[in-house]
Order: sequence, then structure tokens, then C-alpha cells
Amino acid sequence: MRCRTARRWITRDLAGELTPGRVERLAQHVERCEGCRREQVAYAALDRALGTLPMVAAMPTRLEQDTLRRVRLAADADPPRAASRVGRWLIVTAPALVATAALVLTLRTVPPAMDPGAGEPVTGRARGGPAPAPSTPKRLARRDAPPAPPQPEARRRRTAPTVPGDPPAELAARPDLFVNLPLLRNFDKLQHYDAIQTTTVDDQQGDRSNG
Amino acid sequence: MTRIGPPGRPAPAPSGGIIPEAALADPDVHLMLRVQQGDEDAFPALFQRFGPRVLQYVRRLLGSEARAEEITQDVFVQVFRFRDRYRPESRLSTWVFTIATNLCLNELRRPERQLRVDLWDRREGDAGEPPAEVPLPDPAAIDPERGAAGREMVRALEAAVADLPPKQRAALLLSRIDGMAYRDVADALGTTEGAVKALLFRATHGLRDRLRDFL
Repeated sequence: MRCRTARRWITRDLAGELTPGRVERLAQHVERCEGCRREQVAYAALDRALGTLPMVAAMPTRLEQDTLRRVRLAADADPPRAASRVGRWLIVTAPALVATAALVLTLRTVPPAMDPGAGEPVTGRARGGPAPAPSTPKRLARRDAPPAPPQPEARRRRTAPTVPGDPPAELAARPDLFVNLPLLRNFDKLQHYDAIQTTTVDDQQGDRSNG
Repeated sequence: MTRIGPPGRPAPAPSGGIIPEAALADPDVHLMLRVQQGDEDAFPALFQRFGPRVLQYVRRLLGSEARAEEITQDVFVQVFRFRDRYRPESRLSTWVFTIATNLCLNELRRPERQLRVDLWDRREGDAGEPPAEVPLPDPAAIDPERGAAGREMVRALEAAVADLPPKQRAALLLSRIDGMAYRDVADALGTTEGAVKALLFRATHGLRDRLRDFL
């Protein structure tokens, strides 16, 4: 064994971390090597000196009280332990559960609106939203179907208020009564266009020459 | 393995695992399980058991009395906040000192710490008696000369330990606490057993060189 290895093993031996076989080999080396024997004595003295250093401090009462107060505050801030996991799941899933329940209720209250011949139900589509999936094929079929027979009053009430798709016949006959909606929609653009027109190339050149 | 709970069903510990028999025999683990179960009396008992050791460890590792008290508070607040993460498979002291070590090393890494002056720190060459709690190195020493030499050596040793690099100091102090094995020291430092051996060898070698006149 080399002295370098022996000196590494000396500290491990003092910590009780050396295997019995190595302890034996170290002892044999130290017996023969004067230098390592001196090192072993010195490290043993160091180990004893380290052992005398106090590893426990006197705990100030104030520190103990402050710590326990902080822990109590932390405990108060905690949600109830038992309910915490369930509570967390409820918080996460509650909106989904409510939404599902609402959807189920809606589907159950909305008439078999999609019966052939039923009046146009108000769906999300009427407001620009997506239409429920199951209704799509039936709606397509309905276009070719004959006009729906008048629905009983009770059944009509259950459906949501409808938005007329086409104007009444008397209004449809007088298109001149209608405002030209595309024109209205583009009205802002026209004003904007006018505003652009007010700035001319001549004006810009004039500004440049003045500046 | 011992299971807690109704027979026939695997009974997890509050932290989710199965408690080994050896761990159940450990009073510290019992104490921590009581804390995990919400026993209000358990935490003060745990603090009284570990507080003085943690305070001394943190004080030595930081070298600052005032910060040591703050960090000790933080350690126990963390112990409480993360009580569910403790696994009875490991020793409670290892877990507590892992938290303490991490907080101390974080504190030592803070750049503003380099500029801080702690008026409570003792400086080398300061006159005055060592703290009353420091025992003599050799209790059998009865003559004043040997007693004075012993006190001087303790002072030199304290100073030499304080001057070690933080990781070496942490490894050395941990290995002195509670007879912590190298494996536990490695866990607390978040490193390998081999690295701990190297840290401890360098630390003791450094101390041996500094204290050559006394040894």
C-alpha cells in the first residue's frame, strides 16, 4: 500500500467508514511506516478535538417562540389537510361538471328540434356560433322538406325565441324600403377615404419648403 | 415491512409509501408521522429535539449569529410546510439537515452577503473568553497551562473550521452530527458518497495543516 492511500484511509477509518479488510491492511501499513503512524496519531488527535466542539447550541426562548409562531401562521394559511386533495380536484373539475350539466339540460329541453318539419330552432349558428353536431344532417335534409306544419303553442314556447331568416312577404315585395346595408358598412371607409384625400402632395411639398 | 392500516390492504404512510420496520422503531420518525397527521403537540417537540443542533450547525456553516437564527426559523418553517414530502425510509435528521444545508448554501451564495458585516461575529485575535459552553479538549487536564493550551486549540480549531470552503465545512459538520454516515452526508449535500469522501479528506487535511502546532 502506498502512503497516499493510507492517509486517505486513516480519516475514513476514524469515521468508521472503512471496511474490515481495509482496516487490517491499513494497520499493517502503519506498523511498517513511521510517517503514516505519525499522521494517524495526528488525525486521531484532530478527531478528538473535533469531538469536543459543541454540536448543540443553547436555544434562545425568543427564537423558539418566533419559529413556532411562524409555523402556526403557515398552518393557518394551509387549507384543511383532509379536504385538500378532494378540494383541489373539485376546483379543477367543477366548471367542467357545471358545463356538462348545462349542456345535458339544454339538450333535454330543446325539442327534437331537428325533427323534420320543425321550425328553425335557435342554435349557436343563428348567433354566429357553431351548430351542434347532431343537427347538421337533419338541417340539410330539412331544406328540401315541405314547409313545417304549425306547431302547437306549448311546444313553441319551449323553443328559444327565433330570429327571422327572411323578411315577411310584404316587406320582401318592397326592397326600396330597405337601407343599403353594404353602403352603411362601408360608410366609415368612405369617411376615411375623404380624410386621406384632404392631404395632398402639394400640401406636403409646401410644408417641406416652409420647414 | 410493517403496514399501517386495515389488514389486507397496503397501508401507505401519510407520505404515500410503506413504512419500514426499522423506521417505525425510530422515535424521530414517530414524531414526524405525528406532525404529518396534524398532531399539534408534535411540532414543538420536534423543534425542541432538532432546534439546538440545527442552530449550531447553521451558526457554524454561516459564521453569523443573526443570520443563523433567521435561517434556523426558515428551516423549521420549511420542515412544516413540506412535511408531507418526508419519507420514513430515510432518517429524519438527514432530511432536516438537508433542508438546513440547502438554505445555508443558498445564503452563502448570495452576492450581497459578501458585503455584509456581522457585528456579532468573533474575529481572529479578539480578546475575550470563549463561550462558556465550549468544553476543554481534554477533560482530564487539570493544570492551568494545559487548560489554556486546550482553549487555544479549540479557538484555533473553530477558526480553521470557519475558514474551510462551504461544502467542505458542511460535509465535516454533518459527518460530526448524530454520527451521520457518508451516505447520509451525500444525501444532505445532494452529491455522491465518493464526493463526500474527497470533501472530508480535503477538509481534515486542511485542518491538520492549520493545526500542525497543536497536533
